[in-house]
Amino acid sequence: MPREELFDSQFLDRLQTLALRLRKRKVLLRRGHQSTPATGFTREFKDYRRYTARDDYRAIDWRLYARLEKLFVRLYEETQELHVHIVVDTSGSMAQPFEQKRNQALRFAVALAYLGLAGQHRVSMYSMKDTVRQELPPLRGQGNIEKFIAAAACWEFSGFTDLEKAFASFHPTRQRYGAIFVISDFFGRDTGSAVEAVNQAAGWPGETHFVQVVHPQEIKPDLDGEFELSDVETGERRRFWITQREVKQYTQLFDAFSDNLSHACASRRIDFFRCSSDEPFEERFLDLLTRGSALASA
Amino acid sequence: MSFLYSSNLHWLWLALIPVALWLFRRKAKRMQVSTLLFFRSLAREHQESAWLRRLKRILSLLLSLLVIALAAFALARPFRDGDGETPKSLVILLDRSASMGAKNDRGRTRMEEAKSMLKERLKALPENVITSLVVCDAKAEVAQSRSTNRRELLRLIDQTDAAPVEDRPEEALAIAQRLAALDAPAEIWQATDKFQNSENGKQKTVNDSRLRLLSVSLEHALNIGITGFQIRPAPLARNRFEAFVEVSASSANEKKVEATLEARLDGRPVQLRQLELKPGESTRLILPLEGGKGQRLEIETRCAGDCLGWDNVVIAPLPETKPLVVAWFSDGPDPFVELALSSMLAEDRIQVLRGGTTDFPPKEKPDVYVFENWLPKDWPADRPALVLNPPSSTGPIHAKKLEKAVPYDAVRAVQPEHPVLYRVTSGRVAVTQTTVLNVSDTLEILWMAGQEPVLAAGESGGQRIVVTAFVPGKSEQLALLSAFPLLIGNALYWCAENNEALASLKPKRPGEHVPLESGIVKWRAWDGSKFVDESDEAKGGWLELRRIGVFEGASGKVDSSLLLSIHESDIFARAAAAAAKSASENTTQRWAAGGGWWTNLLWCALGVLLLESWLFHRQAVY
Repeated sequence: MPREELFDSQFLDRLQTLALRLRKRKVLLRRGHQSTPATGFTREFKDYRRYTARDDYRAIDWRLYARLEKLFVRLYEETQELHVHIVVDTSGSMAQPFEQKRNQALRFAVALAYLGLAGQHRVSMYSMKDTVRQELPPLRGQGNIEKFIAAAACWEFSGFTDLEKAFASFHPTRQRYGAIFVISDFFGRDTGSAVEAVNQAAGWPGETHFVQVVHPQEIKPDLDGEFELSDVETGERRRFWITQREVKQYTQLFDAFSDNLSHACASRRIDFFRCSSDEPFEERFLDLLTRGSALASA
Repeated sequence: MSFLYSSNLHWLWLALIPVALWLFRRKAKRMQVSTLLFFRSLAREHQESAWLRRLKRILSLLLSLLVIALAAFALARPFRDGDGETPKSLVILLDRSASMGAKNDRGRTRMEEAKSMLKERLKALPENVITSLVVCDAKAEVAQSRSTNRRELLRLIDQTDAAPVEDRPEEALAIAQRLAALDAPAEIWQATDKFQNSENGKQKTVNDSRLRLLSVSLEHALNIGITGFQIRPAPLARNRFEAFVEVSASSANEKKVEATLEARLDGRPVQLRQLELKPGESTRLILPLEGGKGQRLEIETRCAGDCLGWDNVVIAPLPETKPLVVAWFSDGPDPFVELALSSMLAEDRIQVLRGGTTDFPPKEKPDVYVFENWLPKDWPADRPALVLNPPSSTGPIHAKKLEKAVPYDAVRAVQPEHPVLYRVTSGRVAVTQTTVLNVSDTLEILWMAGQEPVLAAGESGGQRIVVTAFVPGKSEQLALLSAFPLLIGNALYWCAENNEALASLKPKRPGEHVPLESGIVKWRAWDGSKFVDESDEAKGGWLELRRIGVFEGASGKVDSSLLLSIHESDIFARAAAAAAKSASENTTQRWAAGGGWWTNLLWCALGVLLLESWLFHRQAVY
């Protein structure tokens, strides 16, 4: 798909505007910076602690020793850079038959990457089918956004999703505090596979966000009559005579699936966010970040 | 196979609709979906393989065509006449006599069975067949004559009810044959309960018409009924009556039955008898009663399981006794004859006009002539006569006077049951014969003295005659006994039995026309199970009796109408084995006639439709 269709010239301008709006909303919400429990060598004083062996003697506060005749070391605030992991589902169901899902997913991914780069965080981007594959190495700096856009525009959406296998193969680094965003429709081999995958994601370091992108026709299909339906991922074909009753049953099943996934995420302290492909991107993106994220507070 | 409404076969073109729908059916839309996760649990019947789906479609089409074909055939009303050609006309002869009111174990009368049977058979009759309906009991009535209005025929059959009337089917059959002959070839269906089972459904040919007998007789019949009844004043007694009752059991009863007979006067029980009756047996009773004029007598028989109620009751007013006018012509009257007649005068039962031989013939006609020791030269044949000791022969009397009387110590009763000898003790009677009788074939000998007849009675040319050949004055013992007055009284009543003076003692029969003043007639009627008060209107001075009970005309005249028919009380029944055979024959015959077949086809069409819907659309049609 041409890059221009996904991210036109105004998209970056809109991203900058989004960043400003996000900062404004952040101030209004009085959110603080993300601090870590670790100490480091920044100029921000944090606390005193008694000197113990193997402490760096350069940190001893001699003036305090002169007054109290006891050795204390000075502790300074250490602020770490975030490692933002953006995992995008590139299976067939994200692009077919509803292309809007892919566009919405890529917009979320690029916007998150831009926000991470603008906040001087390290940003990694992955594609996910039956396994998670790193498409770009960790990058930092606002100037690298073009690389992300170029990479996203080249992705091929095909194949089938295996959430459990993919999540099992994904190991984000534990060296830095991370923020992991998984953008997918979470349609697996069966309705229970998404919940199983949530259990695996619970072990990931840092905060995890599941962004479910679905099309309105997937929530409530507008079907009436006899249909031969084919699954875009598996190619399986089934014939159905669909009436309003079937549509109602389908809607109930889909809502139950989303509710189960949402409850499973909540029980694992994972943020679950559902977005429809026809909803305005900017509003939904701000909604995602204002729900609480290290990325938004950085 | 033929069709009653072959024009309805045109509906078969409707079969083109499912064929067209099948040929131009809409193909299933093909559509891609992100996942089939949420569709898999829906509409499982569409998930089978393609060949099975195709087979189902073809089967569904065939079943749809079958539904349409069955419905069209049903509307066309197929039938198959198993007995050859279809008749041009049909005459239904429906018996509505009393026995058609007999009920089976389920309480259905024979008339209801006959109606059902006729309606069922008429369904299979082509519309263009000319129909007539003759209903019969004591008389035949043509209810519908030569019409093709089937609805009217069914209505008339529906309106026909059994009546407590004895049937005489011969006249009705003759009328039916006349009607059938007008539109030959014709068929006559005679629906009645009077046929034996072996005759059921059989076909006879009568005067070029096919007569089919449709029997609706009961499978198990149990009936007793009162088949004879008469009430008369007791001889030589005031306010005493004697009721003669004959109770009969149907010959179809399976075993001996026990019954009770209760007599009531104005609702007050006065007699109760226990009866045991073998199948086909009759028993006769004489019930002495005491009562006055105007009291109402009810006699009822009861028997567990009795199937016909109309014959269980007789009801009659106690009769008003008119004096019997007797003209007594004597040449030398015997004092004992005079004594006997005068004893009846005291009871106001008899009015005696006494005269000599020269007074004959009298100016006013009496009820009975009594000739004593004399006979007129011109024999009066218009009235019954009691001839005592005739001296010569005249008319039907052949006698010769003996020169010398012959005494006999005893007489022998040849027919002790004869009404003339009722309560007359023959054993102690000694008579002296004074005349030799030459009894013709028409008179019956009642007493024999030695080898000579001394008392004879009988009818000659419709005239009742009683003749004695002895003189009571010369018969020593006879004069001292009550036998002679009883004999004279019995003889007079027997002679005058059909006379107008005694006519009020005889009940009427339903179906008869009785002369009655125009106006409202009040009935105390027996409906088979209870007495009810009804009213009729006598028009033109006549009333047709259609009920059982007591009726009172506008002038206050009271009379009774009673069934009293051994013919109706003798209910026919089918044997169990024969009933089963009959049922199978009926079914075969009905099938052959096509009755009810079209309804089966309709049910079949509905069943196929439901089957097709259940097999192929149960998950998709809401």
